[in-house]
Amino acid sequence: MAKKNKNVATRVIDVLGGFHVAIVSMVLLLILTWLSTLEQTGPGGLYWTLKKYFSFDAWYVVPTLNGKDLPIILPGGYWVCVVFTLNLIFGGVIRMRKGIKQLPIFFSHVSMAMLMIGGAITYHQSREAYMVLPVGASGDFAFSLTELSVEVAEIDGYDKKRPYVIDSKQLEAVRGQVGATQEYLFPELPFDIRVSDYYINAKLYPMQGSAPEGAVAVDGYYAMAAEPTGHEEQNLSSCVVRVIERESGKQHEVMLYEGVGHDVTVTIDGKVYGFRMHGEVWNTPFQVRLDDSRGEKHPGTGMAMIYESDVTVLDSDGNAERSFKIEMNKPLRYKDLTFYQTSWEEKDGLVESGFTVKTNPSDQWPKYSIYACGIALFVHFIIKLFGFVSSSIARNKHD
Amino acid sequence: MNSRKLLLGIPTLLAGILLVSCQDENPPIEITERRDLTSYDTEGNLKVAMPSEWRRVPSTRFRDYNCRFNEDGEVYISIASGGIKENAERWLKQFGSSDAVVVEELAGIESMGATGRLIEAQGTFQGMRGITIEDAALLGMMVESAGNLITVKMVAKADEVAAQRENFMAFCRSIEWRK
Repeated sequence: MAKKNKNVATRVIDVLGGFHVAIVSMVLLLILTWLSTLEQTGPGGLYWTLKKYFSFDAWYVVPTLNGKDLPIILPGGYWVCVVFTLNLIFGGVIRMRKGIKQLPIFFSHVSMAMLMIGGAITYHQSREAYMVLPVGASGDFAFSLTELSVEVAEIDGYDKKRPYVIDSKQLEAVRGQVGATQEYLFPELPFDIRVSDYYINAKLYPMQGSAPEGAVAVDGYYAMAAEPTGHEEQNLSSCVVRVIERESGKQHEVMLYEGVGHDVTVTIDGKVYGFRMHGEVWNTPFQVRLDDSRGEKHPGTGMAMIYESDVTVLDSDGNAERSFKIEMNKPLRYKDLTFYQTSWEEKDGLVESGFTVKTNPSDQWPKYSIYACGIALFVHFIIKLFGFVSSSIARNKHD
Repeated sequence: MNSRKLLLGIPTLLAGILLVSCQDENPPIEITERRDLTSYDTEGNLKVAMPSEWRRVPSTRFRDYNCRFNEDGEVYISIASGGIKENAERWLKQFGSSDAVVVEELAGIESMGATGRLIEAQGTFQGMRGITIEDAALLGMMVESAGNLITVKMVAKADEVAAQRENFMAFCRSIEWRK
């Protein structure tokens, strides 16, 4: 019989859904995970290592070990995951032989594909921030330790109005780019701004005479760039904001520094406007009150041995809705938010708990995928076992 | 392709590349997104209404609320230690005066629910960081509240300080503890 001619799409699907691609993808993922685990302990830190190995922009990776680039180029982890997911869908779901006996394997492949898709949703849709609460206090916001924003708000006497937010994605074009400038237009305000001299890590000093060479000086202060650390949350960024009045063209300059815990201001047409650079602020839809918190650390290491917190969720009027106990690996899940306790400090009798607050549409997908896969493989095993025992009995009878 | 076409093609290609590279790399971004205020926007222990002629600049270790006006005029609030007398005498010393201060003789101003004291001086200012301002003036206020000494200090050229006097008084009166 003549072999049926296949078109290009079918051939691509055949290759993509093949066994070889599955093996190569899994081996690559194993190597990437192993190398990134080693690299994140170095100066790159966890944040930058994850970006380097598994971000959407990372088409390829040159691994670094002990400060030296290895002479190999690997494909980026994100794209290996994409190929592996397509392999599962094409090979393990679409092209797979269908039948009652293959049903458990089919379901195990579907559940693994769902696990991968859940990972992609987490990567693109999840949001993470940090909330710190001393015992007795309640919080209505969380802030990012890694994604910075610049905020602009009118200040009227004691009162600050709702700030305009330039988020981290909108700042990406200037972040750490020496000489780069980005213009931001505020149609609802009487001015626009230009952001420049954005250092990922800097130190801010009050001027004493003149600023050192290479420093950016504005209104009695200067910022000196410092080498960014791999631990992104420890970097303190700075930038220069040029405020341009739209009608008159008059310009003002302010220096923003992440380490400054308040707005710096400019007055335009008799109105005071505050400018501030800090981690993206995330208003939580409910308040959380820390009622009590207990913890213990490994002696000498400062690392958590155990910590747990009693919290109460409050509605917008401050009335208690529900009480929870958050423990290590037992987060609070409430109204699409998950609170993981990630730090615990006790100083001078004051106890403070830190929570990672996360929203993730596919939060529970890994759990359900693993359950589904486990059940499917168990059923497959039982079918195989039953088949084996039945055939053995039949063979014995025949003999 | 003949050489004439090639000669025409290369400059055209280069001009095209030049045109593309001359374009603004980062087009302006319009910002309309706002967020609601949270307790994050409540900073510090003090509530202050700053005059619109002034501008707020970064706080430092000893300046809890730090402002500037005109080119180099400075006004700042500090939560200090010690009493009014020794702090006032230290301030006056920066203007070359070693006179003893009698607190009760200083002019009063209502601030933070108590009577604050005004300290004034003129002359050459010798600052802590080696800064010297000729023909300068000091307008300061100190008030004891809730076991703390709150100081407000304005230093600039004498005529600038005189022009900002009303703003300074309003600023001092506006200071409150945040509840």
